[in-house]
Amino acid sequence: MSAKSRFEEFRLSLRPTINELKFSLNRIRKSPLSTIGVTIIIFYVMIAILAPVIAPPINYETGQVMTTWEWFRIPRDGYQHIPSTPSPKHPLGTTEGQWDLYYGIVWGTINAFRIGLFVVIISLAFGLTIGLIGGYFGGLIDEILMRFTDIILAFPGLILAMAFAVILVPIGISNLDAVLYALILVGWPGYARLIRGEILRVRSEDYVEAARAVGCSGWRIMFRHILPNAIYPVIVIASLDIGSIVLTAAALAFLGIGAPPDFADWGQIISRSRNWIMGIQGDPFHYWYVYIIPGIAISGFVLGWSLLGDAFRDILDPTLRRR
Amino acid sequence: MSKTIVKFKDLKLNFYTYEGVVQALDGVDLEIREGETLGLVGETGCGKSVTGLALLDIINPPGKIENGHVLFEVDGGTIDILQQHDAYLRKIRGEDISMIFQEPRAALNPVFTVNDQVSEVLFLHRKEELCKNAIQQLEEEMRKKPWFIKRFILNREKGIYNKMLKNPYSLTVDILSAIPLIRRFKGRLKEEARKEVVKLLASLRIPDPDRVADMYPHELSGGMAQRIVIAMALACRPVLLIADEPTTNLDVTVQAQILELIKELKTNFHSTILYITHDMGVVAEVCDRVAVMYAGNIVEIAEVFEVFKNPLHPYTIGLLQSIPRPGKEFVSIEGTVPSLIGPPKGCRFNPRCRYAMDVCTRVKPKLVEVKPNHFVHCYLCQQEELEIK
Repeated sequence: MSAKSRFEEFRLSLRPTINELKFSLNRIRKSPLSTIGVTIIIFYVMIAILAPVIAPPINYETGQVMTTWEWFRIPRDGYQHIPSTPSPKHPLGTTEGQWDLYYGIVWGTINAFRIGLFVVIISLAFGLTIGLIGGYFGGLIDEILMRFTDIILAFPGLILAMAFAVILVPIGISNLDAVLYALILVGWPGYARLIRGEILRVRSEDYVEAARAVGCSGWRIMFRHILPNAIYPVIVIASLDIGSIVLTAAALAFLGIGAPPDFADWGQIISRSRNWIMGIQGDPFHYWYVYIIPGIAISGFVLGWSLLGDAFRDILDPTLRRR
Repeated sequence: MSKTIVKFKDLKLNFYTYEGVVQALDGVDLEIREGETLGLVGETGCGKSVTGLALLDIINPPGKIENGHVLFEVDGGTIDILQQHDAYLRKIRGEDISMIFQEPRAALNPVFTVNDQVSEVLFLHRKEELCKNAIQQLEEEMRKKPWFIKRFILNREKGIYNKMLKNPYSLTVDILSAIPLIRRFKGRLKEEARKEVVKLLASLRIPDPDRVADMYPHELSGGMAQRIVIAMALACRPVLLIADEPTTNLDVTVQAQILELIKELKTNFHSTILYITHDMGVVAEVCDRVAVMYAGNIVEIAEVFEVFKNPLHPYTIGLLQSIPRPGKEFVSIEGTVPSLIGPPKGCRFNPRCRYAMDVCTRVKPKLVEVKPNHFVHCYLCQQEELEIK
């Protein structure tokens, strides 16, 4: 057997995967909303990746490149309280205290991805474990886990998150991380409920019984037969949540819980525009750039993820997949 | 007479529901002999399928086996299936006893291809053979005197498979095969399994097995899906095959094909079949012996000709009369099937029985051999018993 035929074999073995991928992309292309969603998210990803190029981290005072751990600190051009309008030096203007808006928006993209993905992935893992155990084993274990979930769901999410964040800071967790952990603690019950419900549905399907009849062990049934059939709605909800988590984090920042004031975080930038939303007498939109620009950034991000969630549903839902 | 491979002894099974305790099986006594096809006949809800599930010990809650034994002959010994550990039973399920399910589409997992599902059975029970085949393949490739880097890789692979052969179901292998990239070492096993699957599909007369192997269940027709389910059940050449109404949801032509297939398999594989159905026509077609069930009891067991020619239990007589035949008057059994929550006392058929006597409402009859190989669960045929009572 020559090396080429080995390659051929490899290519053949990948063919189903590639076909599947092509089919998925085709589905996205056919639905205009999914296309928009994907485009928006790709746009944000590009900004995040190119951040050091399009917004070079240079200190205004010294004119030198900032050290790596200072990259998320928005550079400050003076100490004047009133925001300044967009100018060649500050393409999107500055916030109060002369922090550069453009830099904040660009680097805030990375932060938004970090918040969204980190919170959703960790709370998904947590909720998935709890829901899976509860749904599969049932009985007393299920009862205990689900009542615990109910307790957390019983409180209004934002307020509970605030409470958690306030508790976590004195333990020695940095402000932004405290918000992330608080959002995880508030976010997992939704996934746990959802996955549990799905597992209860799938558990009584015939193919699970058939899997037992051919001698699969409990773990195998759980992970190979039940989970892949139960996970699609959760993935869709999770991708919708990536956007809304960023929105919640921004809300918390607006309320004063979150990153330090000079941190490149959209919520933080908006919270600094609080005093300027009213504009000046006779011209309510005088300082429009301080709140509209970060607002557009956040809403675009949320919109992108929710449209992408629809795209995921189109791709993953086996009942919508007909060839 | 051939030897008995399965023996149900006084099997009692209850479902604990909100409305009350459903006494689904009320002392089932049944023998399945080696090499025969035993038809288990009865109306919907009389406990046929549950009997099949009890044989694999996969009764789901709220069902619970209260009493009784299911004795199974395996490896020269007799085991009671209900007393075994789950780990031991997992080896029996799919390998010695396997099941064909009623709804072929529902019994196939929608997210896996046919190849994935059938080869899973092979991975669970036939790993040694797959390893051996893979090693043979490797040796063949080695004989071609490959380039030295390739030789090194082949040697490493052989080492892995040799280790796997020693302990095919070890936890390490399981864990490693769950990690992407690392699990590529199983590639050859998968290839071997796929070959087996395609061979199996071809033997079930599935056209173009190579292409069907890559299809998802929703792309298959009903008859095709049923063949795949049969392939899953037959993958390890089981001693006993439980067929739970395998033709119920198929149209008649496909039904005929499947029945033909089952008969053929019986001659090829020499396996024993427990055929669960409510269709007397199918019974006449495939079965050697028939057990008639009513409301959780076996009421009559006999050879198939005997049952059709000379039925003794009033329920069997009624059942045979109620088969619609052209030119004959259609007779149905009076009354309805009793609720199994608080079933009638004594013989469960007594409220509907034309010949019901006083005894029938008091004491449950026994399953007695009234003629050679003909067991009946009725006082009408058991005069001596009646006199004692």
